[in-house]
Amino acid sequence: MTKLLETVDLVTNFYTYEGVVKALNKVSLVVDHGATFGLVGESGCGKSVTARSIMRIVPEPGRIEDGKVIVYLDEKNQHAGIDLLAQSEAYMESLRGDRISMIFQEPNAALNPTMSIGDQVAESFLFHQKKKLCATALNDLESVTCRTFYPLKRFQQAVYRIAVQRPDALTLNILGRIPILKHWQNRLKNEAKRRAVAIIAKLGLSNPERIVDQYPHNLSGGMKQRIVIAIALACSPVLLIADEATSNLDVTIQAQILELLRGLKQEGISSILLITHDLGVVAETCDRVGVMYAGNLCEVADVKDLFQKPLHPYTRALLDAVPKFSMEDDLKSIDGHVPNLVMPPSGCRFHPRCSHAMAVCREAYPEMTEFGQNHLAACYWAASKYR
Amino acid sequence: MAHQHPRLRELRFTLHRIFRNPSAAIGFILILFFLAVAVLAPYIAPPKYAHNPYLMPHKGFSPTPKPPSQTQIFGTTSGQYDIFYGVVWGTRTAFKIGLFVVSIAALVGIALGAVSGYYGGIVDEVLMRITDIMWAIPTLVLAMTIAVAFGRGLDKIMIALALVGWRWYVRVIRSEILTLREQDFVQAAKIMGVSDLKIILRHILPNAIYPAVIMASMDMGSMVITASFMSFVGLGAPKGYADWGQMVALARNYIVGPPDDPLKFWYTIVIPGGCIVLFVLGWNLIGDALRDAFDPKLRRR
Amino acid sequence: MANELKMEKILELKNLKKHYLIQGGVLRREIGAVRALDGIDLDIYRGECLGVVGESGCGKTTAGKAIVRLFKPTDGHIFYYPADTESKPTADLARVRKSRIKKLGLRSRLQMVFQDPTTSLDPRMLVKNIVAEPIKTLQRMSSRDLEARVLSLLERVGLTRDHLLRYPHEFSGGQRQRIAVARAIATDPEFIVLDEPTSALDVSVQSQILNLLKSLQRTLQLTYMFVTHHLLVVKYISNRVAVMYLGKIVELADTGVIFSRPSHPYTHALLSAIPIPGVAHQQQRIVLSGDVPSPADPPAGCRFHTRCPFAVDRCLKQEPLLETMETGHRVACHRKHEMEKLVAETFGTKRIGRS
Repeated sequence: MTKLLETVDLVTNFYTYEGVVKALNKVSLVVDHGATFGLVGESGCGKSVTARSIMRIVPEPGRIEDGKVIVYLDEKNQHAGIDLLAQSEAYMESLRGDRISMIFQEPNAALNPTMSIGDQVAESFLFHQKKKLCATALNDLESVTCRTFYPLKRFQQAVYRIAVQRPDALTLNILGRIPILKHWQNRLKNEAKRRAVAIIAKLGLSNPERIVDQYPHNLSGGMKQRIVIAIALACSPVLLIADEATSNLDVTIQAQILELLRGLKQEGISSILLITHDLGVVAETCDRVGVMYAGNLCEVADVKDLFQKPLHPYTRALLDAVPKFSMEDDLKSIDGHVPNLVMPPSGCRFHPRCSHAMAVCREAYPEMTEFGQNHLAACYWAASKYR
Repeated sequence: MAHQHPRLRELRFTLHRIFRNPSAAIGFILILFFLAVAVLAPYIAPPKYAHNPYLMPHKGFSPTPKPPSQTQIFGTTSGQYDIFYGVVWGTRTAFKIGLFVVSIAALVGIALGAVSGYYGGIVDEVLMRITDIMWAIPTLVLAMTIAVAFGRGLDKIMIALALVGWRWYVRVIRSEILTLREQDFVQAAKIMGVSDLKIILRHILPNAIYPAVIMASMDMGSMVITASFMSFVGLGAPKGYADWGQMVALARNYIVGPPDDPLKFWYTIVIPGGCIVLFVLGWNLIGDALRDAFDPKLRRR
Repeated sequence: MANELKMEKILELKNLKKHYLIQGGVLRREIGAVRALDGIDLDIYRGECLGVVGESGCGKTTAGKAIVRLFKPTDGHIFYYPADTESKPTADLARVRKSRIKKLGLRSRLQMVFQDPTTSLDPRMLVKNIVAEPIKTLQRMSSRDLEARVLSLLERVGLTRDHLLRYPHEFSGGQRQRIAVARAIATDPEFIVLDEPTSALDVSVQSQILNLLKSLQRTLQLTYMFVTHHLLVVKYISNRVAVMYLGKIVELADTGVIFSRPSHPYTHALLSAIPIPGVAHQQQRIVLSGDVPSPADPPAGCRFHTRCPFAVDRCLKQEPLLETMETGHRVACHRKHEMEKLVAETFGTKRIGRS
């Protein structure tokens, strides 16, 4: 397996009236090329903040304080890592939605209600892949089958030749504003729309030609989430971050979306970082799982290992707390509640709720240690018992 | 901190939010200053006419203003009215206009808006159409009509402004309540059998009142401006009444001085005019700060 | 489990309907209706916990809200049989005027817990006043007695005296839901509608609340109607389950029966759609195509036929009735008797719920 994304000791704080919320406390995780990494935890454990820190879209008043987010975009060359936190905002803008995209819980908030579906999907192509689109358009123009009025054809060919080299050239900007002449862009837009139809069809929506002309309110929740995924996948990203992407959907629709994600995985479309609170979703879709609690990553393991022999007491308690099919006795619960991260507990942040807490847990934070094949956990108790 | 009464803690939090914005502090200082002047007016500028302290004292009838001097520190305006006295007592007039108009308008508006929004249906339909009719009347035209019909006077202007001022509040409160009415905590109160009046007073209004408070603060300023305008065009306060608008009106002919010294009579305009500007600015800054502090989206985290 | 209960009805819903009119045009004429509830027959027995499951828009919440009379149903009856029939007569909740409900003292007998405790608690009220409010509307009480009562309620749901003088936003989601539960049991109700009480909560807190609700049911002899979309939660807490689809009940049975011998294709699909938190069994999943049709324009015949993998001509034309298959197991499907075989043929037998 080759690394795609690696966070090293990521620290993010939120400066609020109540004090400094220490939302992330040295989170280090690795997502491999072609893997589905699940990040689970309860609300407020920092799983969303992790994703936002990776994308550098932490909302006010949050700040990424320390750490590294390294991406290895090239699967072959593992030395060419790029630290996203050291990059310019402009670089991030070109990266987001192109190489790394993110989908959120609420499809309604992600779609613009006044733009047609087709335009919204096409926008992604026009923004990130103008060069490619121009090249296709130029190819079309130069092919024998293209029958456009000759002078117009010459003009468009000239324009597209410039566009292929420098899609943001000043001349093109000016040309795009002159009435009549600006129609050279139509070819570009049509091409983008054609691609939009193709990707919508690929996501299992019937009748994509009709859908591109519709508006978000014409679609149901499940369809909207598919469109959001289509936009995210438009530029074939290497990493798709799905932040609770199915939590608001009905079970039968959620099943459809999960099926879709799994199908996309089989086509080898990209790695997925799946953020969810639902252990069931994790068990069904992920290869590798990270469990977070109160801003700490407490256990990382392959999905089978995590469900069959969980090490961290929090993971165990979480698995016990989920209602299951075969269950006769009472449901176990974790006493107490998630700590306030303005004043997190000393040492291991889980120790006040942990049934195996030892004296050392109160004093020092346990380091991530390896237990067997690719199975990491940060716990003194597990270390004393299983090592 | 933890042992404070929770309401006190909430208040502290709100104050923290308000004063995080430096312009809010300026706004509050301005308004506090005006308030102090208004309260202490009899001591700052002892009235000459005991029967009506709002009448500005004047020495002589010369139309030419006199510059600031030892006895009249802000000088005199046309008609030899003392500008200092007029500005000090004009502060009282401004508060009188603002508070009267805004409190009447807000009370009527909030009551009608709450009833209209909460009950909906035919009640809503009737009340909102009446409000629509009120919307069709231009403020100035109504004020002028009233002034013409009942004679000139500041009280008439205030009544006219109050008559049209409430329509804003109806709209704002109604829209707030339309969203609140469907909230679960209102539904829960209904299930418990809490009466409609109690639901409105205890659950809905405390949550819906903030936009109205913000608007009232902004309105304090704009109502004073409108009243000043009325006085300026000669429909408001009678001649010699301590009112900023009236004082600007008196100086109408002296806005520009003689050709060789165009700024000769600056004090006649700048001092009362400046008071109006600062008064309105103060309220607007407060309104802005309140808006930031009460914005439910920003309030927590 | 069902045998332990005395089969005494507490509520009886008869052909309950709630249609929301869609008005259009200048004159606001009626141009259609959203059939949120379209004729429901359901008996709820004293002391049981009836789970009502279905996807959003199937009318499960509407049914709950109709029982506590948040609105007046369009048609049908809700008969309520109080515990002491002598002092309080049987009432038809669907027909009584709103003002009468309060006079009959029904408000205190039927309560509701909402889905999201952040919105169901007034953000500007202290916890003390939130819990005291239902008691105050019912009877006059000295403030000391009131505080003692509020405190005992809070302790019952696992909160302490420290929590009295706090605002809801100072609590975590689970604690807020405890406050909401304390408020619901404040007037000693017999029947509580639980509208997705745990779906806004985290897993670890969800189990706390479920266990709390279970123990309260035992100690206070409550009857629950547990509305949820989460079948595993229902399995944990309910005695009987009603599955709803587009305003109708499609299957009604004891919990064990629903999970071991489901007979409606929709129940099968729902069961197989649940993501299982475990990696032991790899199941063949029935993924339904498409979305729930709009309740403003439900399909003719069987409402499920548009998504049903086993639909035949008859399903398109004739609407199946909710018929008894065996004692206490009622299904609305034309092919209910062959369903087990059909599902096994198409999707294989190695599926969840039949280990």
